[in-house]
Amino acid sequence: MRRCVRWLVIGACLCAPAAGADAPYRPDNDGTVLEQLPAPRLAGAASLRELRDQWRSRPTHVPAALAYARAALEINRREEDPRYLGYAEAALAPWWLLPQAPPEVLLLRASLRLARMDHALAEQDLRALIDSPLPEGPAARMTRAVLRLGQGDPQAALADCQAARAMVSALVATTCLAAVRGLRGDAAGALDALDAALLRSADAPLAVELWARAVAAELAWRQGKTVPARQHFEQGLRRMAAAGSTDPGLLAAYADFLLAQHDTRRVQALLTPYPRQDTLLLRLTLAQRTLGQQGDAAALTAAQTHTRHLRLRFQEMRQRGDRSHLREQAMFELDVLGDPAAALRSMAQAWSTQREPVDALLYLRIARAAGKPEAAAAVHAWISATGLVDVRLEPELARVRTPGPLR
Amino acid sequence: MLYRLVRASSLLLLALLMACGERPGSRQPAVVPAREAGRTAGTVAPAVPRAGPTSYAQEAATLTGAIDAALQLLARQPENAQTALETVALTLERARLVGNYDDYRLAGSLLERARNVPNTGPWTCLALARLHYVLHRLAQAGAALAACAGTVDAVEAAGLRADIAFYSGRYREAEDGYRALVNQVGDASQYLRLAMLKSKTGAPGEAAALLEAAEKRYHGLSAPTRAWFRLQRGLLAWERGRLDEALALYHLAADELPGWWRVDEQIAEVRRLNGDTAGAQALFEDIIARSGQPEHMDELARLLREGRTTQAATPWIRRAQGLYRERLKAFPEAGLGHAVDHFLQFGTPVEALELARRNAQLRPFGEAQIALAAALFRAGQAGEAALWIGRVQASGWNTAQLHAVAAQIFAALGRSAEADRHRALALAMNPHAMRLYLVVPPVQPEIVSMS
Repeated sequence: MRRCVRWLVIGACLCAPAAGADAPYRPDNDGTVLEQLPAPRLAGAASLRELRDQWRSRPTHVPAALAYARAALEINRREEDPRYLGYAEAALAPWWLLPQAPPEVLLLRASLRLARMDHALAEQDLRALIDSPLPEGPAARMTRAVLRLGQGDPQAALADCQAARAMVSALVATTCLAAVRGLRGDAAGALDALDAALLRSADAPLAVELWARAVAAELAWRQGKTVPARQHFEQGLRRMAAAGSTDPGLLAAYADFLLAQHDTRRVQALLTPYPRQDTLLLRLTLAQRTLGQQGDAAALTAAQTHTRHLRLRFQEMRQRGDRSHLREQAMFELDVLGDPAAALRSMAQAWSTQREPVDALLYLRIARAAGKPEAAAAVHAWISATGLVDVRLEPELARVRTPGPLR
Repeated sequence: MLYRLVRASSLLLLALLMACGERPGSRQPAVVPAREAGRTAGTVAPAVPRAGPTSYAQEAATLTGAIDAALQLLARQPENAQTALETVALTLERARLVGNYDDYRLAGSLLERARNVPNTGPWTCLALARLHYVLHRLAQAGAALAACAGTVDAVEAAGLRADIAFYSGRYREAEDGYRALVNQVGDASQYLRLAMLKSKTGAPGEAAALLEAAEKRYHGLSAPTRAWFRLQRGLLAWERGRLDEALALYHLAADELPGWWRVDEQIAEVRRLNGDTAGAQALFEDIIARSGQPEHMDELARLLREGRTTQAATPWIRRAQGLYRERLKAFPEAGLGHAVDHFLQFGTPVEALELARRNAQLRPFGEAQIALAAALFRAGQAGEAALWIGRVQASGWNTAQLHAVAAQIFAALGRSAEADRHRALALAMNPHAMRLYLVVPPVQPEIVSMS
């Protein structure tokens, strides 16, 4: 019991936001409970603690290590809590540096490295699987396709989507290809194909449908079709809620959409249950700031508290060398702190690894706000290279074409 | 990692056992067994003095000697349908023991020959029904059996009819048949059959008692049969998660017939589950050297994939796949079950699904239907997989494997309450179920959350 408490305390010290001060909080004694951590468990599976115990009883047994690491990674995805990444990495420690690790370990190791934004090593692992005759090759290809999409390289993603096509479900194949087409300027055709695939794929696995819905909503929004975009987001959320799951990516994308539609009340309602996820707390803060500016004192107070927490969280991330959520940090610096120069630095870093239309839009906004529109030259080059068409970018691009007074 | 969905097809092998009847021990003259009522046995090989337990190799050699002698006799007496039929029975017995599919081919040609002999009586009809049955041709087996009506031993016919009902998913009908046989005849084979059914329909305790009853009723000297009983009890203990008990029973089976790969493969499985990878690997390599079967190559490949020489798995996977394809060509029905298992993990999802659909169509019983659900899940059709899980459950099939597979499919669908319910059911039946019965996930980006 004492060990459990200590574990909680140590975990809380590492990650819990201190109340408004940059100096670490030091509890008076070991018995002080700083944070009640839930006992995380995925539906249909053992609790993380049970899986951990099984792994610890046989730390080099691949199936036990994989089961624990997979569960920890999945909980990390839902909670955006880096502690779980650490658990997963610890489980794979015997194979972490092996060039020829067991194939299932390689695939999971690639995912963990991607979560740490260590793209180079992740790609090594994925390539090793893709170049082999192993059955994990197609999953590695699909993973690399999604990575390429995130990196804004639709041509490379297309090659992987097509190569894995025969091995994946129709919905996975169509989603992958639709995302590629969308980046290459054919959002309308891509959305039509994806809508048709979604209609034919009732009862697809939850994760796949949420991915497909997020891509479909983005494709619709990119064309300015807000009604179908909202429908896709809502359908995805309904399925997520019915499963009792959390998909921070989908929630964040929907919150961005709602913020763009000035539907801040909905954002507040949507994200209030997720204060632990950094990406969601940021959107909640943005919504509450707006509500505060409109006279909602409670929202303003909450936004101020959240701002302190976010500032600390981003500091902690960078202190431990975590390169994730750079996009969110840039948003925070621009839209919450009002520091476009800092935002520009963060965004330039983010752009080196992540090039989605939403990044392009943010980069253009930040560059303009910083008075350095030329700083976003890479965005223009990227748009020109991909052929991306996105109505959300048009106002920013028009401003560059016809320079006017800076905001 | 254990992806295996298809375990030993006990009832199928039981049918072979029944088809051949009790073979005399090696202390007696090796004979063409013909223990079906009213038939005589022809002596075709000399007695072999025995010291200590008969080994698998001795049993296999004895059978081969008997088959060779019978074939020589047939060459001299080509019109002797009785000898042809008894050679069929011997050949099927060797198939059970050795696992060589070539014996099915030989049995088929011998049976065809016997059927072409005028006035062969009703026996070819029953033998044909049995051969269709062991080759997973249930429809043809049923038709052949129907054609025998009134001409063959009623107990034999009733047993086979119930077996066909079991593999057709008509469990109530099968149980009625088995129960009637237990009450009317009550020999070891009837108890064994009922035990197998009960073990798959949610009554493993009853099945265990029936298995013990069956063993007590067996008074023969056949080492494979005695080993077979212990093996079945071990498998049942394994399915209930009683791994130590299972291992003890496997060792008892091995004592009865040392060197039998059917026992050794289960011992290797226990070693693997207990984390003794090197021990399991060594045993599978040895089994492959003895039997050359693709199922064991798959198991070895799975072990190698977890080790430090993962590339060494690839040649075994390729070799196994080649053997499966040969089997599927020669025995399109009988080769399906294990091939599904292989292609689920090592082949394309499309091919695995095609094989699983055919398998479940030919033998619409729980194990094949669960394999179909797993193949649908692997192919990204989780919704249809869940429908099949529902059908299997509604049919009365009730095993830890069913619930473990269901838990994984429902979890992926986001049907959390159902996933948790099935997990609890699986663990109640077998505390290790969620480790034993892992389904192969669909191919999708790892970046995308898996559940």
